[in-house]
Amino acid sequence: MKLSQFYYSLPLISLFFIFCGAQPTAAQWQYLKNHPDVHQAFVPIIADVRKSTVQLESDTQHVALGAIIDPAGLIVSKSSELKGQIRCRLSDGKVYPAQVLVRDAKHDLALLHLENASAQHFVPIRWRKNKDPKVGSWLVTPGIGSEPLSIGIVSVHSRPIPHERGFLGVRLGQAERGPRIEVVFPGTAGHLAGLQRGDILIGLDGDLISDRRKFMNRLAAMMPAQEIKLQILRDQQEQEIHVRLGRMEGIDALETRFGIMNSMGGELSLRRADFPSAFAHDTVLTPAQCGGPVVDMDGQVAGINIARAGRTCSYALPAEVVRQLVERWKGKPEHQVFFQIPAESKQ
Amino acid sequence: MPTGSMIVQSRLVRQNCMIQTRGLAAEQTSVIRPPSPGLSLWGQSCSTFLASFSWLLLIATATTPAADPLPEIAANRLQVSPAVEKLFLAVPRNSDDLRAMQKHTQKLSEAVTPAVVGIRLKRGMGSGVIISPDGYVLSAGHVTGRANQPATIFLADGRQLSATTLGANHRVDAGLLKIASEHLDGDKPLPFVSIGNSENLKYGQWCFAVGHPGGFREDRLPAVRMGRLLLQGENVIVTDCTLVGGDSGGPLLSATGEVVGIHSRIGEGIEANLHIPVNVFRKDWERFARGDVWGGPSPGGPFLGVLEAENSEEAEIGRVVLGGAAARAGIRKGDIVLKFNDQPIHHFSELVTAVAECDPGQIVRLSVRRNAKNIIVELEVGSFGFD
Repeated sequence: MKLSQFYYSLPLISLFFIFCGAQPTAAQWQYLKNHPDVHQAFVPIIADVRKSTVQLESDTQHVALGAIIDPAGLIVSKSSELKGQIRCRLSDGKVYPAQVLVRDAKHDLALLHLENASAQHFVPIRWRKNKDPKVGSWLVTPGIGSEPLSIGIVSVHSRPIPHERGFLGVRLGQAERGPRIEVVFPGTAGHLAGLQRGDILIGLDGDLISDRRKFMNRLAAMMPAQEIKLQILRDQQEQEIHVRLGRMEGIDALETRFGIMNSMGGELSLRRADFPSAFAHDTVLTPAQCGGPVVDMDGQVAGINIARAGRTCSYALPAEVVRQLVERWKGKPEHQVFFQIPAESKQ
Repeated sequence: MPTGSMIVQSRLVRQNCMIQTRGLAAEQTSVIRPPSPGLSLWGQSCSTFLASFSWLLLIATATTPAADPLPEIAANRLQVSPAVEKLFLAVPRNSDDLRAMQKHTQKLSEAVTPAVVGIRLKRGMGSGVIISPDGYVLSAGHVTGRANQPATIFLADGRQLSATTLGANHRVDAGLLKIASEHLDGDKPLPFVSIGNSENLKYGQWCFAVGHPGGFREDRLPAVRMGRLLLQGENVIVTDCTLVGGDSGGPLLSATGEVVGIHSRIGEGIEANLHIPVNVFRKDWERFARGDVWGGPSPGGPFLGVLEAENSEEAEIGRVVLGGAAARAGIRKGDIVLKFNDQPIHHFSELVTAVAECDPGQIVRLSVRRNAKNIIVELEVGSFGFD
């Protein structure tokens, strides 16, 4: 176990306190950092960017924000939130269906193309050209309206966000043909997917499994929100079960105090770790407010909000990281047809 | 030091002999106790005995350390112009204000994060802040617990230093530690920030919370958050700088980069972040430095381990914390608390107050309604933070 994981697993000194009557009084509301009076100062800063911000709906439910990165109507957003029929709502009120062209699991970014929009000219965001913002830099997150959604500061400079293992929620024994499910913990990913006690796991994403330890190791390398196909044997019949992995915290049987506290103050994104580089900021966001641009005090896009990770933490992929990923996508012949601005010429 | 020894000398002198003590701070002596029978022997050779004995006393008093004074080191204050300081007391008006405030926030973050430390004790991890070059560290009472316990301090620069817990006031959740003097290295001095004054804070003033959310990690510097002061009570400051487990004991700083609060606890709402005012340390500094622990018989305050149910008019339990006192006693989600010992409970807030007035370890009887039946549950009040 890595040293950092060791510290994490020590029982944390709890901040837990039952603060009933916690709703701020009328007098306190006026002092909140996200009060409309505070947001007023940020309105000119986001005046342009909001026109390049989109709201994404997945099967009519608002699931994420996105950023227009090419005049031809190409959007980046948070991949793990986008399923089914996707539509984009723009700041001018127009709505377009959108098609996912690429999914990058490593960064949890998706590239989408706005459909039925050939006549339109879309204004792309302006990326920040300087280094990733320092700790203490102020940030504003726009929506598609004229007022910002939320403000905050950079808390921790860009760094790799370590792997968090995906969680199935079963206890396994070893049967002859493969690991056998002894317990399915209620409310877990495995439970929701329909796994049952007695099921024998014989395949993971098409690969044969026979050994319980090997299966656990493969699972440990996977992430929350990752979708896997389990081939199982139930009553001697072979079946395939699709599972969307969850996480260890928030599961009744294994809930930790930190897990409880971390979700006090709002819902968190399912995929909220495993980023090659991200900076943490203290902007309060909902998971559906992630996927879009986060803006610096010069009105430039410093990053893409990629996850609501905790009570104190939202992650953003730095502008440079997303820019380079977009350039790689542009470099592929099958995508080039979509982009209006050609790929930057290689040096 | 010399004064102390003279006082003792004069006391002894008065007790056993009739030597003139004028001028030896006699007026400072208080109660004179009559010599016990066993000591009457001393009267004979009082003067010679005193001569030798006084040496001993001098040494004894000299080696009894008086508590260090409160470190007030103005030299470490962050440079901030009055114009910029004023911005942090108000709502920003325009982009110029925002850029000025940003510049100062960047400067403040860089200046203070080196002094924010992770603290590891046997029971768990928290945060703290170094406030003097000789290694005094402010933290929360529920982090430090008892006095004279060994702790490890983790600095942002990678140093791991041993420290000892000193005093704590558990009623207000304040605790002090000191880094072992052998770690004080002239070549590599300790980073520290100045202790501020929580007396004249203004509602709405911008402030900064630094700490180790989730616990200290080698690969991550302390995290900085910003918010505004929402509420101040006698022993509590509420801000919307978000806090979470692991932040306990870390500093709340004003725009001048001074410590005005220490993180203590949170509530359900994202704006419910509670810090203790730093003047709690100012007020009783001597006691903290001496290692007094007061305000509770055990580390941390009384803790039940239940969360209020949403949308309930009564004291309904919404969630029971695993492993907490309520869980161990068999309290369940959906239970409605009717009485706490003899006290009728009508609302969850009354339950909270009743628990706060207990001591950890105390046995209480709860009258509880469960599935339309009234039952009695006996419960041992737990200890907050150290289950």
